[in-house]
Amino acid sequence: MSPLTTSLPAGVGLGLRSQHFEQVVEGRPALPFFEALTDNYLADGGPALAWLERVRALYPLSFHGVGLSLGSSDPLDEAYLDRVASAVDRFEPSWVSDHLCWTSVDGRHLHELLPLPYTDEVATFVAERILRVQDRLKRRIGIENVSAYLEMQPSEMPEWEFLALVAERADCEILFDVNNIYVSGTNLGFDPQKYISEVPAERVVQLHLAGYSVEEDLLLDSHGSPVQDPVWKLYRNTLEKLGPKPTIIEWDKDVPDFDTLLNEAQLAQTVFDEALRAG
Amino acid sequence: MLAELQRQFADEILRGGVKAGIYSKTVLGALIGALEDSFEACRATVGAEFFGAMAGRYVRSTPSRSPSLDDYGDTFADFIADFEPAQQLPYLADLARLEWARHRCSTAADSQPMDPARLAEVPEALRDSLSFKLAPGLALVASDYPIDGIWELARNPSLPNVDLDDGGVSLLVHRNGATTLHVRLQPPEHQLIELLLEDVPFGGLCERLDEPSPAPALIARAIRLGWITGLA
Repeated sequence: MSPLTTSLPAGVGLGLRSQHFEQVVEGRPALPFFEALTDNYLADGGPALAWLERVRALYPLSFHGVGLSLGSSDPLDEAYLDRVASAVDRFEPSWVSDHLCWTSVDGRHLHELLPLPYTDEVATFVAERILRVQDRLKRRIGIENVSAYLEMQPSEMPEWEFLALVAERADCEILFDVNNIYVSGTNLGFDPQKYISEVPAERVVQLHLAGYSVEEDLLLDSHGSPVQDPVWKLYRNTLEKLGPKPTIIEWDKDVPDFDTLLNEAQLAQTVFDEALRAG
Repeated sequence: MLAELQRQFADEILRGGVKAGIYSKTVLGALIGALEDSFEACRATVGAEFFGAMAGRYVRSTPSRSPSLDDYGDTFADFIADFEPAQQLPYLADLARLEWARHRCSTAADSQPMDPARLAEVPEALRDSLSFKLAPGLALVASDYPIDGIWELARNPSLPNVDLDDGGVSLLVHRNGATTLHVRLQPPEHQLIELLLEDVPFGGLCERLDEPSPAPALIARAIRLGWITGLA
């Protein structure tokens, strides 16, 4: 496979929401790229696919999915993988990613990014599945660290070690979600700074930013609000440590008007530019 | 090891067990959210609280079997039909069937209208064995109640009330470009679509369709309206 690359569109892009299709296509905002949720574009037809064609004609895309269930003990869902492959063929996204988690077992789909036990054996198991996905898609994929609300036992290493091990064994990319390390760090009691300093920078091809919410005594990765202050701070630290990686703002619950999203992207772009200048 | 661990955790999530922590709430919440999106008219008709309770019962008994959340809810209408507290609303299950058919149709494969002249080009000798392709996502929903009126009322509560004694309807769900529609069918049209869904060829249609609506005229109309999109 080709060497890992960071020469793809730089700067801060936005998650594409159906509410904003028209504004994006008509208004052509000055953004470097959009991220599409892969699962929203796997149907046989319909208006969303037609809109995505139009967006793709104007912008590079990142495809970000939730359905590969890379950490599941179930066999890989070949039919789903076929659908992802044909969407990738059709839209030629600059990146393709899913999550380092499991979402299904025994054919039951939970539609939630569930944590894995962090062991050497599980790392090998997941890496082999990622290799098979990459073979099928004929390209490297990115895996994203998820928000965790509890620790899956038995775990024998911290998450950053597990993530690095899987990425190494699968020779895949990492989509580093800054909000998720803040959420998981707070929930499980680890230091996000440690995570940032341990993640293999050369494999990280994208960053995610989002808003969290507070429920009971946990932080939830809710994607329904602006990025909060502690996450902005971690974003600065991440750019300093990993370099100016292309970044996406995820806001897919209680989706605000497009200007609010543009403003959020602008805030991130300012931080990004500062990091770029600092070199 | 991993399979057993995941199986137990999934069981715990779906039964709302304490060991699943907040994941029960997020998982069941996502499933209920999918039903709310696909069955908006049912929700508006019975109110958020009743719908939430009904959907809550369904999601506990019916795991999602597809990686796509859009596929979730295919048996919800049947569940509603058997759901004791909804028995006072005998039209509710049919309203759910209509919404599900619309939901499926909205993402069915795109299709182009067929040139009616193609039918005339088929040699006489082959015509009887000719089959027709229906537009992807096209579906029939029949009910003893005026569910199209109930659907409109759910979307626009300022409309006059629907009289349940107005009688039943046969509805055809289909898509025109980006727009998913349903239209009322007359009995001969209903019969035609039913036969086409059974893949009955032209000869069979001519035999089985009742007068006074001859099959060729009905078929020509179905082609013109984009219900039939090809020959096979």
